[in-house]
Amino acid sequence: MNKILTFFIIMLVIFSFDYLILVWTNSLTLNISYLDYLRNGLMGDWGPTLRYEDKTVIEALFANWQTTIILLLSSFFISNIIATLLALFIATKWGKVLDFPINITTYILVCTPVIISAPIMIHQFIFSWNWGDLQAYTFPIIVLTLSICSLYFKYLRLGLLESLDKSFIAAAYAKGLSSTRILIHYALRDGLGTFLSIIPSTLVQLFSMVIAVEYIFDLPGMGRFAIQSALNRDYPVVLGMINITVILTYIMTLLVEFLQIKLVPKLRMKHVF
Amino acid sequence: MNNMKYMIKPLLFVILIFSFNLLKGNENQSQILTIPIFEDVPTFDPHKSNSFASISVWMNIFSTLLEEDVHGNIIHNLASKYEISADKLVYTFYLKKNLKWSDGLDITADDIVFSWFRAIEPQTKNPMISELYFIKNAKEYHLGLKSIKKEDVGIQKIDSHTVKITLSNPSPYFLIRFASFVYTILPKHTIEKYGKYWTKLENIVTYGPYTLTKHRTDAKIVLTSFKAYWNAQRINIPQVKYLVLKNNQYYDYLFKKGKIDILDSIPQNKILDWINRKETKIVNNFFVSHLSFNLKKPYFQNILLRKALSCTIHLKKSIILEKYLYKLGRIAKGVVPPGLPYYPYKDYMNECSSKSIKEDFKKAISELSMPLPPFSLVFVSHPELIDFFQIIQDVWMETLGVKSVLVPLSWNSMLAKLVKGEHDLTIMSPAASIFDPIDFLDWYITNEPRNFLGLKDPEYDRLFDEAQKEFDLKNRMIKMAKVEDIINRNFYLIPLFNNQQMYRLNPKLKMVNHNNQLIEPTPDKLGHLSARWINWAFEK
Repeated sequence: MNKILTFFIIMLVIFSFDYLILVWTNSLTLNISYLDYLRNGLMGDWGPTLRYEDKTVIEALFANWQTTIILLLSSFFISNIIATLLALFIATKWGKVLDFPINITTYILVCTPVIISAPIMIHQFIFSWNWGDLQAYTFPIIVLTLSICSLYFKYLRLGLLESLDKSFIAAAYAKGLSSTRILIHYALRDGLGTFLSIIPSTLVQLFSMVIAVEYIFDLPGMGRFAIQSALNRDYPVVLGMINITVILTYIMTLLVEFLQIKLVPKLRMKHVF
Repeated sequence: MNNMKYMIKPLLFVILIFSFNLLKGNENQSQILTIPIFEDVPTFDPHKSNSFASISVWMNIFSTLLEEDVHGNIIHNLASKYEISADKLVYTFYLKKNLKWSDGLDITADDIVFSWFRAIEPQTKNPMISELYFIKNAKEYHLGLKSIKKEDVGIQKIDSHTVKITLSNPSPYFLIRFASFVYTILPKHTIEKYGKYWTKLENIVTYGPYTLTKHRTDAKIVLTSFKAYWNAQRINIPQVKYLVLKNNQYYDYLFKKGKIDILDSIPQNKILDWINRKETKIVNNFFVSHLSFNLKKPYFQNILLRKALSCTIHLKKSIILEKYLYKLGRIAKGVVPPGLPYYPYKDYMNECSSKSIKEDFKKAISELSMPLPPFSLVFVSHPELIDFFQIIQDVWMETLGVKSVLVPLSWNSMLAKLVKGEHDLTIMSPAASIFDPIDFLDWYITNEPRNFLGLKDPEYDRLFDEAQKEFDLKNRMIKMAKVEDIINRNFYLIPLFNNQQMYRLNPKLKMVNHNNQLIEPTPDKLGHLSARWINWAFEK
């Protein structure tokens, strides 16, 4: 109940901002009062776009939702899997030869924004070496995965190293359990805390990366449409995109809170929900 | 906890499979014609916009009574025959029987009369309205003069399949204009039922060689051949796909890969690479681009200032041509592009010299007795135009010390700005629909909606009116040249370039004449390739 009320208040605030901006920029095509606008907004009617007379904001934005969702979800899940496997592998080799180069690589990848790595990919792999296709999902997903995967890997590695030092791990070893079982069932689950808490913020980060990547690879999606609308001064669409980002962030935060309680045992004792 | 574990793994697996399935490309590309467009079609309503992509779509999903074939001859389309009165003022058209809209209803004379009245209705805000002014009383009706009623306009229904058009004065080009998309026939019943939502994919009703089957906003438009079209056996390409591709740097690559079949927009940095290739074709377009002053601004009322700015650009044109267009184009010297037979061309720019520019500019500044504000240069935000305007900006800054601001906008926001008259200068590239100067000169008639120059000259209107009524070709050209003289003599516009265009086609793509024989694709007199896809076919 508490969460729903918060959500309601957030929506009221963003729609009020939207209304103000639309009034300032003279973009309110319909003569609509503030209260009507709030009610319509909450009901999911965000008004017509300026460029397409016969389309509403939601219709125009969600016309190409598939591209954005595929990029977002597949890069998210693939990077999760790779990061987890890599972190588990490194945990056993801590301080050895392999640890250093992998660490350095991930640092470089974290520091490289997609607006740099994506054009390099296009010119080197697609144009010069003729691998793959421009208007396909392969390279955009690789670009996104590389950048977000290294971030996840860093947090997972940190969590794992911290929990491997703890006394219950020593106890598990003393019991004679196999090291794989200890790593996955004890250390990983204990070390997930920090990693899970950064997921909502990284997802929003990923969403903005998807927008950039769509524009660079010229993929028809919500992101490219939003950028084009910004260039066209189509304020209702731009505001709609911001609203969607806000809603996405809120829902992700809720989901992760729920997941944390389910996955991390020590949080289960404190009644967050 | 255990349950969760078993749920997550299959879920991940399903999502992975799902995402990799989508990585596959399309299989059967050979029978689909794919065309890249830079901006999505804002509306499928032929009376609302005039962007290139929109016209190309309308020409294929809607029909006109007459049609132009690949050689430029006028042939019957929906009309079974037509009669012209002796004084060349009354045209009677007989519609073919048993034509049905894509929803099964009959096409009647009511649809024709409705469509053309809709086109001249003031609330429609048709940007191509001047093309309809040949019809008797259409201009007066559009401007809302009270004495003119609907019955007085020269569009009349005789019976369910016959329409009579009366012209205000005999026009030599009326039949050719009649084949253009401005005189499209639209479904009356759908427009009356759905209002402004009739263009939505689920509501739209069409009659043409193709129907609209898919429109993903800002992504693609798919047209499929219409089986019930009267000439359906002539359609050779079953599907036409328009892809919205924003980055023209990728066009070359996509063309090489066979993803797109027609390529006519080439980024600047690829021109040199292209010009030396065998398969590249270069055509002279019947086309001119020019910068237009906004005469509503007080400082542009001064002819010396206009002359100084014009001449500055003119002296640098050859450098701009080399630097910006890589010599792809010709230097323009007037409003009407070269190539017309009997037309007395004059060079107005021979007075320009670097000495005269500075004198003129000094005089203009002292006459104005006000500081010049930075000029706002308004244009469509296209990477190439931005480059071009930066050069113009530099030229003025270096030679005269005039400051200017670039305002790149989308097509619609630019139009809005131009109509309000908030710009200082803008680039204009009037496209001719016929091989005649008229389309370059009718922009500047008083109260014409496209008159962004803001010219109000009764002498100009009178001369133009006289010239457009002339039937004899030689006299017509001499009269038209007098009209052009007013603009060039006063330096109202800065003529820039007569374009040349490069294009490349899929080697298998050929044109089809009306006997269904394949011929090599050739552009018409205006330098355009036909955009009616019924005239095209893939060689087997």
